[in-house]
Amino acid sequence: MREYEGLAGKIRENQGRADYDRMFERIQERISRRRTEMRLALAGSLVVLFLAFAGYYYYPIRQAESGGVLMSYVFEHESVDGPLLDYVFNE
Amino acid sequence: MVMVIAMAQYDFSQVYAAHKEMVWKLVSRYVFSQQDREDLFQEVFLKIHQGLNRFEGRSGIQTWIFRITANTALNFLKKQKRYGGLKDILSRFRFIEEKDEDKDHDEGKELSKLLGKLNPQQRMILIMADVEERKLEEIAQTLDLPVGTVKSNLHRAREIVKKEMNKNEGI
Repeated sequence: MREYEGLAGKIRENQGRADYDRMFERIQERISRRRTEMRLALAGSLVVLFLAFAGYYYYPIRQAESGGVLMSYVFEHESVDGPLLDYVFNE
Repeated sequence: MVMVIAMAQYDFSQVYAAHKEMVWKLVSRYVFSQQDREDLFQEVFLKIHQGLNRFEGRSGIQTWIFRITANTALNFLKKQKRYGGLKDILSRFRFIEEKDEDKDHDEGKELSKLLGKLNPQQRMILIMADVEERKLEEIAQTLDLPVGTVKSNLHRAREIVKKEMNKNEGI
């Protein structure tokens, strides 16, 4: 009968072969791949952030240029005899 | 300043050279096929590389590496259990080729089959307690579990393995 205690010894002995140099090379490869991925992810998120900011900043201005939205005037100075007050009081 | 010095003294390649054998030995106890061992071994050292800058030296580096190894192995086994069924199906249809490995693998297969009846947590606890002969408190601390949970899992795991061994004897 196989004893339970024998199992522990069997597990301890069952070690296999290790090629440490080859595994170290693979680890280094994975580390550099991960670094590249992280740099790309960082660059990508910066680009997205920049595009989002540019979109947020320029969208109302473009709309104002095309004569569409009143709220876009908040991004520009308005003089007393400017078109905004003229619109509010006269139209 | 002290912190900076403590952090700077660990170079990854030196840590690898000093602890590769210990990690391989541990990994070999947790998984039994050559491929799994190599995958897990690399995973452990990737985690070590990630954490080395943050390692403050509160515990010894060996203890820290052991904790990483044990927890990485536990996650590895959980993942394996989750996708094991799918892998079996694919290998049955030969989408994944079974590698013809050496004779060590036969014994590994036998051990895998025997311990495969346990859930990953029970398996880790059984190996840590009965193969590595670690104290229950240490296992609990390493796996971040209450001692009572470790105790009950160990009891259950021993029962399952003994039952499985008796069943195999009977065949």
